[in-house]
Amino acid sequence: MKDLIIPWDDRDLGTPAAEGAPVTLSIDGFDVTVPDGTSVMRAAALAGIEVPKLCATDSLEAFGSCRLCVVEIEGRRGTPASCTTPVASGMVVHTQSDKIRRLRRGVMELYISDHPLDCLTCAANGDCELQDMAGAVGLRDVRYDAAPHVDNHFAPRDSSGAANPRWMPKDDSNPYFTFDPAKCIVCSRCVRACDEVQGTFALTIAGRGFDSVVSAGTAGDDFLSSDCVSCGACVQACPTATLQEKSVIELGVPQRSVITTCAYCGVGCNFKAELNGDQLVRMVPWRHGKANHGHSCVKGRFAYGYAQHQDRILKPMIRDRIDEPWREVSWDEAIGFAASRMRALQEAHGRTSIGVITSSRCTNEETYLVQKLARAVFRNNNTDTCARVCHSPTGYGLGQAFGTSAGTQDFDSVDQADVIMVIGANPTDAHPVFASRMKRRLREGAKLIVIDPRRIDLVKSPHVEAARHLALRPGTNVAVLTAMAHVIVTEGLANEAFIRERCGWDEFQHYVEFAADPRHSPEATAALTGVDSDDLRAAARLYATQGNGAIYYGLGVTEHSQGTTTVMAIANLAMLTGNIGREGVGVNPLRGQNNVQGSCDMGSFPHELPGYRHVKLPEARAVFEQAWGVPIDPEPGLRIPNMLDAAVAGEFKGLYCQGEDILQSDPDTAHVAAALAAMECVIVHDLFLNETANYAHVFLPGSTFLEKDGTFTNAERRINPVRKVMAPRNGYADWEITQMLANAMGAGWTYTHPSQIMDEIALTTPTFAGVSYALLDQLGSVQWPCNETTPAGTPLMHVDGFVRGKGRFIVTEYIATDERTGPRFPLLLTTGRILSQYNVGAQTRRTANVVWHDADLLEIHPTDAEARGINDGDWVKLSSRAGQTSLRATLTDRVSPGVVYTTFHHPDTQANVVTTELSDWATNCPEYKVTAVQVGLSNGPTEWQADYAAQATRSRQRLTAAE
Amino acid sequence: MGALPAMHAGLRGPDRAGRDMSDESLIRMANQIAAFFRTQPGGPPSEKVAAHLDDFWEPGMRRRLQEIVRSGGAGLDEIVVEAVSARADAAGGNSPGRPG
Repeated sequence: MKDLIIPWDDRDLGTPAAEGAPVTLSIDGFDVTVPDGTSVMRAAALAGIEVPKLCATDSLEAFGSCRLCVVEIEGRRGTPASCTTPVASGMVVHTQSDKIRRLRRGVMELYISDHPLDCLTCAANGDCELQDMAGAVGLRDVRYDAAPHVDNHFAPRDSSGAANPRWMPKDDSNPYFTFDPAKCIVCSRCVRACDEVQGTFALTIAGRGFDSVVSAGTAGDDFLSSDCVSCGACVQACPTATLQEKSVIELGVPQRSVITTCAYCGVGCNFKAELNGDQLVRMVPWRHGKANHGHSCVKGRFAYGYAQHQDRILKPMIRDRIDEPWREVSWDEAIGFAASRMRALQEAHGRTSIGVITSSRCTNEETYLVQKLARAVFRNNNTDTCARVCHSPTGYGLGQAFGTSAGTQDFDSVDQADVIMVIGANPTDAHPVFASRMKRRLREGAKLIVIDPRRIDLVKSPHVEAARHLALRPGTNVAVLTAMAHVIVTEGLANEAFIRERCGWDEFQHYVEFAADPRHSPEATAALTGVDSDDLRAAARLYATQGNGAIYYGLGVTEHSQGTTTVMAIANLAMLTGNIGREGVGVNPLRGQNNVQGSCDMGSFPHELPGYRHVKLPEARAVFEQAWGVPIDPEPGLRIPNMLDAAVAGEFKGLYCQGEDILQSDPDTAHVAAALAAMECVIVHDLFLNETANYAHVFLPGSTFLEKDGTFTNAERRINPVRKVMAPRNGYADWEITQMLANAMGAGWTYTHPSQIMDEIALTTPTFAGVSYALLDQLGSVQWPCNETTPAGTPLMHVDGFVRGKGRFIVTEYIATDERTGPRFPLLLTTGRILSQYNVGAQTRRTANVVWHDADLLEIHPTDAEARGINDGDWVKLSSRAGQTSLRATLTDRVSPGVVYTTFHHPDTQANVVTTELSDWATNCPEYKVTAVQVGLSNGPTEWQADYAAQATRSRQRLTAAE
Repeated sequence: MGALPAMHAGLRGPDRAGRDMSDESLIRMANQIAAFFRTQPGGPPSEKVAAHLDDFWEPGMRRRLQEIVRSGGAGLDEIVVEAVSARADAAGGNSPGRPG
């Protein structure tokens, strides 16, 4: 476990980079050439000369308040601050002189006179810029002896014992960091980080002059009760111990670090895991991370404690029947048991009676091996991944329209967008680090259109307001997007030059005829969609005419009966307006989990081999048949919902499920439970005894992202390295466990490191041909396609032409879902996520993130609540034709009348008890976003919840090895 | 497999278990595919439905769909019936795909 040394410059250059023509100046006798607009401070830092500073940091605009960075410039009067002074050609700068040294010492002396001198016992000892600067300026004496006689803000009492009215106690309300006003030097870096980087505007400077203090929220708020989203940007920016991670207070300043990638959402932030020995002390967003540029959210930054949680299972377990307690056994016994059961099932019930489910939470290498296990060892194509239940319509829809199943841009592209259209996504909750980028661009003046049944935070938040919010009725996405196309086509706003050059003309003719039909007009569809026709027309005009239009979409698009058709409708809009193939535009699916893109790329779907090549194609099979030395079944295998149906029908008997909790995350829980209960060998490979494990016969303990090497591919096709930070607590990395299972079934695999798996992927998959661990170490990350023609990867796709040749317009007729409201179930339920929790919550529920969200709540409009006698906080029963559950209600006008909303993070609520079996026509992606429901008062958990909890408890019983 | 845990007894209603439900789900899925391709220009929709089924449906599911068609195709969209019958004719009445 050596520290990874990458030749990256991690220094703080003081002010952000500029992009201007080269300018040459002289600093301390050295000539330096930098872009025009660069500050003198940054120019000096680039020349290797560090000017002392306190209020400056290169993630924030220069502020010029501390006066420590003063310099002398020949021909100019006085001593300007180097952070706010731009370079000029021929400028001659001196960063050191007697005068400057005297001034800096004076500034430091004043700072230190109102700062406690408890450095040796301070949590930031060794990691404090104030301490560093005191050293750098040579401060030797503080003449203004502050405490306990002189007015100061850090001593609780003066020498007479009287309370100091300026002193404020430490705020430790946030579970992850403390705010100690006594240590604050009021440099405003935290306030500016909250504004500029995160965009939440939760912090402010209250008071004036000597009374200035940093304040979270309004008077009476602490950090927890304020708008603070705990992203950590302020903690990162703080130069002192004022904002300090509690883990550092407890464990000390970390001494080594490893660059790795977050295992939460599809943004794929790079982090520096900072440790002492193998004790993880903190996760710090990496400034050179190309997806996050040094920013983070509460999950990646702080919610890693699940890795050490007591619930984590570290020894393999087996049982003959699911009503027996678990028995801890050796790895050999567990693997042998699993392998012989799976082989026996194939002998008894046929080759296709077993299968695998790979996970978007696992690495590319792990996922590749699991699908290889199905195809090469089980010798069938029964492999699927949880992308089935989130973004499979993206794969099919974008594949049909553009020829490739991926987002078209990198995240940086949003900086060039003029109109941002967010459809069925909630970036501030589900993709928070990218949302901050988006909000920054919106504050710069880009226009925002939100298409969502619910008033998500982006619609109106500090300094951001949507130009239009189309609060459509759930299930009518296709009608709304086709109506937008109608406006664009009939008002002559289409980009015909682009279409003629880049798209299939015949298909376009069909499409225009279809879209122009008056039955698709906003006026004709308003009654159906609930969207005001003027708003819809205005939104369409805005997107089509106001410069670069970029579409970002999420599961509110895909998780419908017409999910695929909606993806096609989005592609149509982008092609219709020429918003594809350059910076600032594009079609961008926001992927839910960290490796959704990668798990799809790696051939997890039953119909296609790695690199999206259909199993029916002999040339594609030949590549893998040669690499693996076995024939590959040319027929598609079962998808997850098909596996479950087949299990209930008694035809599918065995499942290896890695890193995925289908019982909690898949729809129609009762059906999933029945399917699992009908199987004869369920192997769950996970960190915890998740809900699916209640029905498992074999439990293989997994390793966390901190404990193994591999790669994740984020929503912008960026292959990010995951690096082993500590040894796996369960004894093996997950790829090793899959290999053991495969070999016990006769595979004969001999991988000794995941880099060899990546080499095999590169060898067999053209879009990954140039990818290797050596390249990732060199570049930090790379976006596929990465091959001979694009050795450094591909930030933008479809630049000179679509991957499939001509872009294809597809007719998108609205077809209503079979799920209809009626007298029994008059409301529509839609589901989603919340910032502090991740997916089924298996990880985040086992961290302090539960202080923000300890239970799923049902959002209901006050009108619907009143009609049912429901008050805020009441227990309510939520029922659909699939099932019923109980949870507490929260009254809000975020949802329209007729629509209710909840999250699915907690197994004791199990929102998916209520969701139905309906799914997308093309891909079987479940229709999570539309369920007809009724809501009524209840006394507490339903009988089903009580039974479920009892069954779960029984099912988790364990005999320890000693017994 | 032994007896199911007690909680399943109440969950597996008559429409939630066994072949009937599986058939119902195949019929619904096939009809959804037909509903999409019915709206698409250029060429008969049944050919597109047949191609989609070939590409994305596991052979066992396709075989079962053929059996449903052979036993009258109740509840199936006529485009599906046409698509499945065409494939069955082409295969000389044999089930599609490789034997399982």
